[in-house]
Amino acid sequence: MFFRRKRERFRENLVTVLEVPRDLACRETIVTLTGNKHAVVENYRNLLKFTKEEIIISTYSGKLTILGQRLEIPWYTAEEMTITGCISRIISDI
Amino acid sequence: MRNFLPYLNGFIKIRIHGGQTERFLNLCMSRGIILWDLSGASDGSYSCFLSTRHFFLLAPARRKTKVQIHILEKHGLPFFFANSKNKKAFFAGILLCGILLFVLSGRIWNIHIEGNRINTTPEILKFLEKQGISHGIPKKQVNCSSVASQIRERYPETAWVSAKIQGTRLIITVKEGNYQTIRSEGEPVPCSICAEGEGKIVKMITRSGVPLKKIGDTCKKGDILVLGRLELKNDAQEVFRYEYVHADADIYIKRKLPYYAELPMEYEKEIFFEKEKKGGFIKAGSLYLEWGAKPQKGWKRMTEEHPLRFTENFELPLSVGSVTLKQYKKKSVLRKEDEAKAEAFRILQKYEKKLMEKGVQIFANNVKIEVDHKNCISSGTLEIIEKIGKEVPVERMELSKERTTENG
Repeated sequence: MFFRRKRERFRENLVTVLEVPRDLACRETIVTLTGNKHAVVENYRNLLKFTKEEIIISTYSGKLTILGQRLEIPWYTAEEMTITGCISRIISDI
Repeated sequence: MRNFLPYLNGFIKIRIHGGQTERFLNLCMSRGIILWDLSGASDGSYSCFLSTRHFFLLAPARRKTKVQIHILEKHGLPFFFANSKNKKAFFAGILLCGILLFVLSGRIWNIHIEGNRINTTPEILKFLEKQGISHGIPKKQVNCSSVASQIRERYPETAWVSAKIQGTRLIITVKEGNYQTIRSEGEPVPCSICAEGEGKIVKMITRSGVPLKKIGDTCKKGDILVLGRLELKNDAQEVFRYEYVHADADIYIKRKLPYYAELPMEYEKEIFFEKEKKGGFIKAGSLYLEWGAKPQKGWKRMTEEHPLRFTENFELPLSVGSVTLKQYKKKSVLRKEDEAKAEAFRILQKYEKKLMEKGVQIFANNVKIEVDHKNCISSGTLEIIEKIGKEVPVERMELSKERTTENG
């Protein structure tokens, strides 16, 4: 546990010093929300649940839940997923 | 592009239901199978699009997740061709259309002439047709420089002509102007210039020859104005030789042109009624089909013909038109004095315009318009300035025999 914390802190410091984007260095998820109709999720692991009202995506740091109505996935690849519909909430569970 | 490529390769819409659908989607993603427009239904099923190539890669993922896949729609060219196996005539038509387009695009379908004012387009087209350049001629047979030179030769008043082929158009640009005709090569024929009419010389520019009259002189018909014979004199001012040249000069004279015109005060005017009959006709070559209005006495017939054109100047031997019959009555009308004078003035102006088109300048107008009880008479003279000069053969002179020491 101690070493894990130590290693994480070291990584954090290294990222800060080298000015490497966090999403590349720590594989952190990026959610880009345009209005409440369009969202792009990058750096995700896989899809856990997909209904018209709820999309649950597994990310490298936990779960990402997108709630809304008439949700659709017009386009998705292994790195990127586009979600359209009426998005009401985005919940990040770490 | 994103829409075009799937259409080219073909794509399908499928419905996925039952089993572990989310796992199926993740497996597709990991295997590089691209799904788009993924939407869920209320019964827990999903519908999405995927390319036909990726559809055949779905089997292992389907087996693992035990989902059921139904094809809902098929789109794209491969499916279109598969469905059109029995429509051979349709494809033959497309092929024929392509061949026709290819063959016909190798011909000239529009001859466009621009810049011409003196020579009309139909006149030039007729000339070109005589030279073998007509609508529908293969492009290979058209030599642009030859076409341009032919037009230049036929119409000497053109300053320059250019011809170019643009697509299936032959564009001929003509520039007309005061172009001096080049005289035929060889020795110029010696001649003098004589007057064709009587008048006072107001302008005279002599380029070659000896002017016998000067500005301000009066000339009569037949008078020699510029002599085409030069006298070469020796130191003793005796003519020792005659040189004959082609006299060339611009001579303008001012003269009076009598004008007389009568306009009757009473004339027959056609009064039209509102009643009219309409008809139409079709003319195809020598065949003529008309319907509707039949010619009758007391009805004026007006015809409007519209030839069908394939392109701007390419008329088909087919024309349609409309015929209108209007009922009229002839009535004797007496002109008012003002009306008659205005009409007489209009006729005079028309006559002046006609003169000006011939290159005549009108210097003064001494025409009086008078009205008596029967006629409106315009009489008087117009003072005009016109160019004269007619080439006549020059009189040959023989030198008197020189005196020698022998004959004293």
